[in-house]
Amino acid sequence: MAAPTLYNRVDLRLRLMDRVESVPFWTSEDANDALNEALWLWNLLTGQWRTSLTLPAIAATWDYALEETLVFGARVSYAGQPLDVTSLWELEQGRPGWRAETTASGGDVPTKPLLWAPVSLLYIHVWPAVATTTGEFLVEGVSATPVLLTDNQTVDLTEDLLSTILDGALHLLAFAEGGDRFTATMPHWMAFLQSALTHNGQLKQSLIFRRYLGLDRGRDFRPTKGAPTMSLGAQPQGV
Amino acid sequence: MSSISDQALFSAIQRKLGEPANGGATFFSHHWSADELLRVSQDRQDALLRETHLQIGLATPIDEVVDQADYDLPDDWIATAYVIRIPVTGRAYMLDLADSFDADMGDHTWQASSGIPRTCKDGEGETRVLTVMPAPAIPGTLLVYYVPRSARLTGHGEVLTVPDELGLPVLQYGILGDLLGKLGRGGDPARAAYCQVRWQLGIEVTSILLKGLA
Repeated sequence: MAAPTLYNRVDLRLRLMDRVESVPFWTSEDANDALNEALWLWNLLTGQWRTSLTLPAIAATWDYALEETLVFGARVSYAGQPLDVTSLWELEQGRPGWRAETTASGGDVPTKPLLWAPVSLLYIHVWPAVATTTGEFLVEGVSATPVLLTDNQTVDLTEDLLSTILDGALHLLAFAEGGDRFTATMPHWMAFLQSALTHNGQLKQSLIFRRYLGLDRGRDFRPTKGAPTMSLGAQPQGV
Repeated sequence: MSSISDQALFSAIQRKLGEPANGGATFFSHHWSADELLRVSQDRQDALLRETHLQIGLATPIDEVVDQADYDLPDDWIATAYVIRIPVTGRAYMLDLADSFDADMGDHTWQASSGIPRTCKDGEGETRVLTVMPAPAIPGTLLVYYVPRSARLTGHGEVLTVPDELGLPVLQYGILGDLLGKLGRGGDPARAAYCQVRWQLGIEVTSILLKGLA
């Protein structure tokens, strides 16, 4: 992978102009908006920019509030041991009474926190709760996107990512024009999304994303229109 | 983290519509109005929260009453995330969110006789009322986790409730979809359809991310 390079907002605007032979159909303000929007969207799709947060474990506590610096919780560990991700529904159905259990409960309850469940943007649950106030949880999540609010601010991008962000920004800029120009940028938009799918495999599992990008070929192989009504081998003679 | 103000969002939308950007105060073309933009934006922000359950609040615990099935939900309620019932004795458990049909199939006597609540519903009957099915014979406590309404947008610098990553990339397109999708001179069905897809993709990716990236 190419080494990341720091780009400021002026650099990025110039590179955007290069893509239209330096005859832009936008103002600098439009370009600034589009670049930031592309960065936000990229972080939403891929979780490109990460950060971590330490939460002191509290006795008999199973719900923890995250700070707003984390956009989405993504990985949780306790004393260096990663917790498996589950859901609140699975905890309720699979472990009724889980809220009352701690690492000192004994029986089949683990002696260390084993599972975490994302509940909303700002809350996670863990099971079992620690029995005493010792240790800490490390939550690794998606950080706020490094958007560019002044011309001197910089963002660290690899060559590949730079190209992807410019693809996205160019498409977003063409939206205001609509019509043929907007349609002409659809390949750039698809390239942006394809790149996001490469970075975040979970998007590939989404039927909605696969269909939008033309990756869901199932329907092609099961046509509902003009399909043969009987297998070719069973056709009557002379037909 | 939210840092984008409603004015910044409205200006971005105006630029997308080819309008002079002034924080959504006026539309040069008169195809849209400032009030319309406010209404549409508020509705879409609430819809985004409702569909993704991005932010969940805990209502004041509800003390059940014997044989009473209906309980008021908070004024700012827009969706129920989940309901936990704490009985007087025994372990707390989650009530399944269901409807009358489901309850009828499980226990056709649930309306006539009280017992141990197993399910609840919020989408039938009166607005903002939670019904436990069946009504409790022995009262317990209900913990209602719900999606609260978003901050009221004013057009005077109110910060959006949704994080920045969803502000311009998702919420903006929901709003643009409504503005471009209406009948009239400002309508543009092609771009409105594109906006609707962007909205759906945004909700999908948010749902994926809320399940955890690991």
